[in-house]
Amino acid sequence: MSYTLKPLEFSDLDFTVETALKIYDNSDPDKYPEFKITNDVDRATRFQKFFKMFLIPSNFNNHNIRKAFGLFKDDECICLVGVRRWGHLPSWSISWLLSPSIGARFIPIFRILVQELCKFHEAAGMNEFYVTYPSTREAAYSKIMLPIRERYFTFIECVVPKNERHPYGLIHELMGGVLHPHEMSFRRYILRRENTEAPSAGGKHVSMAAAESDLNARLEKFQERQDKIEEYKKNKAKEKPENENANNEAT
Amino acid sequence: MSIINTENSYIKYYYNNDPSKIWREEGTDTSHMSVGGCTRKPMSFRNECVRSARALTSNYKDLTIFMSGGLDSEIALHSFMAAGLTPKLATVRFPNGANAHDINPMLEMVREMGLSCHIIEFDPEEFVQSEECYEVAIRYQAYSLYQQILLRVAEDYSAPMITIDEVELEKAPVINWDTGKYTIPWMFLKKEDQDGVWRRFNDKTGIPALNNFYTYSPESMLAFLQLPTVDDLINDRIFGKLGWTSSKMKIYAHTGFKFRPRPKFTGVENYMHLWNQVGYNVKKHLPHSPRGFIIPAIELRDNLIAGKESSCHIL
Repeated sequence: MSYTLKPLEFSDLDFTVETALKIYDNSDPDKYPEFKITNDVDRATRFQKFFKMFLIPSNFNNHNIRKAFGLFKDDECICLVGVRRWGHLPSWSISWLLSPSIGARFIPIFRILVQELCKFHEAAGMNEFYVTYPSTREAAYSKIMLPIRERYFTFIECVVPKNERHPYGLIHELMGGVLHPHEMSFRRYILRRENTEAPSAGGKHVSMAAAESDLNARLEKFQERQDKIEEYKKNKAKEKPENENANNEAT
Repeated sequence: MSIINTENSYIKYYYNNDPSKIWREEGTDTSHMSVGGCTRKPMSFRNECVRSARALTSNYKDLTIFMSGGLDSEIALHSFMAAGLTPKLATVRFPNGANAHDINPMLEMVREMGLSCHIIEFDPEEFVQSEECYEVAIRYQAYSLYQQILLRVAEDYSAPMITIDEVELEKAPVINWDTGKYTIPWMFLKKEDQDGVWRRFNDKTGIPALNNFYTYSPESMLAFLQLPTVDDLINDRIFGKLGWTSSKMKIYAHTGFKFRPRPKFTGVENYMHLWNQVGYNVKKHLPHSPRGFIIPAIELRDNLIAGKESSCHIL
């Protein structure tokens, strides 16, 4: 069985909306807050406008700050996911997930999905991600995400009480900018890296030699740039008298 | 007759890919800006400014320049004078000398030039505390206090006028979020709030309140981008710069107009408490955040030369 995570395109919008409509028709309408996305009453139009944000054509600025992916088992689309990337530091978050209700069979699929998303974002240098979910789902959620802990530190940063706005902007934005009808947990995942252990667990400080070699590499780059500017200025200054001579000769 | 903001309407702002749609209805509306290419070889920047002064006056005989006290409006005034034109001038004065540091040196200069400047008294404190600023914000989709003040003043003034723009340049990161690759190029910047808002004002009131002087024609914009200091700036040959404002005096010196060196003021230094108050509360009245349009400066310059359109699309 092979699963593939494929980025979706603008041309996948109708398919995404159809999938969402089917799934929402079978879900409890009181389970989710009202996300104020558009002024439209019609659900299909609302979905069109919402999912469009994750499928923006590439001639738009910042077109992939939000992105939709499909997880495919061979040619069959198993689930759809939307992610948001963040400009304050290299990080991303899961915005939405569309999957038919298939009970426990969903666990391995979700694990593969998260693993593939991590691989994709790590390759782009994004080593931190965020998720939010109803706090009542903590047991199920922490179980489903257990394998991720092999490679990521994780912890609940905070729980936002029901019908309350978190004072921190990023957390409020991660909550979809709305008040939820139940407590919501905000969980962070940070990729484990070398030499992060506490001293009591064998952690060591960065040696002087390693720190200096890093600094020297940066200074060399800086000097290269300065040399380039100096060279340009010299050439420009040389061009000037040559042009003046040519002008004098012409007159 | 439609209002002429720029030559042949070469700069356009619109929504949902429809050039006739200049009002934003929803957060999910897409925003667009397009900048047309040159149709002739530009003259020197100074001569282009003089030409723009003539063209604007030819379009609107009684055009008033709104003087802010800053360098942009001073150079614009010199351009009108160099064109042999004596424009009407106006400025906004706040109570208790709250913007005296900004406008008094300008008023002094205007007097020395033998010109007069109409002074419009305006109280920002009353404007905000009465919540009138939010009515203006809604009326024109104007997000910042500065624009709300100018729009309110323009309503009362009700005659052809121009607030002077700038060819704003800023170094801004462009990240490919799929690959993590990034560049930090110099960008030409226009704002939905500062620039698009005047189009909406024109549409609603029919008053020709303009804001494109340095960007009046594609050739004036290109002449600016080809100034030696700007060329150095956008090619990263002036070290340590993230924006163009700290090089403004050096840039405008290329015009040969004499001006007094001065520190940079916004004019609302004594009203920052209101600025923040409005910035926070305006969200209750305008549900969207204002967007900024950016086009890489070098790409824009090359397109202007080639007579090609440059565009920016945002969601």
